[in-house]
Amino acid sequence: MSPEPADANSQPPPETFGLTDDELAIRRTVFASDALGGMVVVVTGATGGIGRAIAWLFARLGAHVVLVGRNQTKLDALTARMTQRALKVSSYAVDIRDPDAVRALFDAIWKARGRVDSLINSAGGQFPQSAIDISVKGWNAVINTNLNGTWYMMQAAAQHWRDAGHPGSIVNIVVVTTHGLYGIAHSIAARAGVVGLSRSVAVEWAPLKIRVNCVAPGLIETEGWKVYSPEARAAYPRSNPMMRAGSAWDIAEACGYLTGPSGGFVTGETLTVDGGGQLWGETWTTGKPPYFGGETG
Amino acid sequence: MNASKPDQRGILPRDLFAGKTVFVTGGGSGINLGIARTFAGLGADIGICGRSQERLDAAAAGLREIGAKVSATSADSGCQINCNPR
Repeated sequence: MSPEPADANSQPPPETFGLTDDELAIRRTVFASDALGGMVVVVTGATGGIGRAIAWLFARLGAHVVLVGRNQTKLDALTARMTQRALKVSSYAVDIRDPDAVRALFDAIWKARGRVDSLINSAGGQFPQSAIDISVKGWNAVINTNLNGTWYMMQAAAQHWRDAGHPGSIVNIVVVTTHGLYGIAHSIAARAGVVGLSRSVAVEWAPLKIRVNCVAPGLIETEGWKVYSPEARAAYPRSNPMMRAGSAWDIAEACGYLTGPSGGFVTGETLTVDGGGQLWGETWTTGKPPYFGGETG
Repeated sequence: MNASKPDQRGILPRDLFAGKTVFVTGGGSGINLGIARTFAGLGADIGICGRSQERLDAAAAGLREIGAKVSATSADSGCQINCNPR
């Protein structure tokens, strides 16, 4: 459900954002129906917009998907909807910021399923705020979830793969960090940390047959849009030369490419899926400041 | 340096590019022929060009065996006249 590239100001933003479970259950995919058959894939942030799309896609491609999130009620609802479609899923309510809980999570998954093949770190997020006024608490919260939590998951996954002599693949969902995106400096800092971390361990863990990659989404319409103002959303088509938002499905299919055998020779890479937004476009999460020709921010 | 064998499991449906035509410059050999074969295997019709018609003819025969309709024309893609044949 992407906005039309026409005059966005003439169209009020929709009440809801992103793809519904019913849409994710039937949306066309480029992949063959058993492309990830036999795999066990752990997806964090599984009830969020992008994580949810990844969970649906991977399960539809034959994987057993382990849904990880903080809210058991949301996890149960998603599990029920996916099970109704005869997909293989299980779920665990875990706060990825707690390293002991993360270790226990992987112990439990390995005990229950006997293997893990892939980890998709999609948990994360931020509230837009001018960097100059970010509180210490706000800063630490964003770093803790987006960088530390991702790291705890990566390390615990890798330790189990090492101990089991089992190959693995990690895909970290980040943001485009090469662009001075206004209002989310804390998140850019955390995600740039994840990108650097991924490049480092792609080398260090290559002897363990563990591949580590990132996907950097640009403007993607998800339920996360609700934290941005209508004014900010109205200008979103100007975020990239395609003059539209992408969908969570675009990100899910990029993850499919990296996770499947198609990505077998790819590691340490960040795949940018942003409609060209890193080359042209502007995104103002907190409104466009007068300095840049705007009236707000 | 051994190139490890790629996983042969097809993760894409065999008709993904049905009805499409893919043109691969230098498609008569090497990586480019590999690209052409992959697209042919996914249902695409194929155009290839290169400098040696003999090599293109051999490549085209292999691509037709996969099931693709193939156009194989010798051309130097560095020469604009060859890229705009009359």
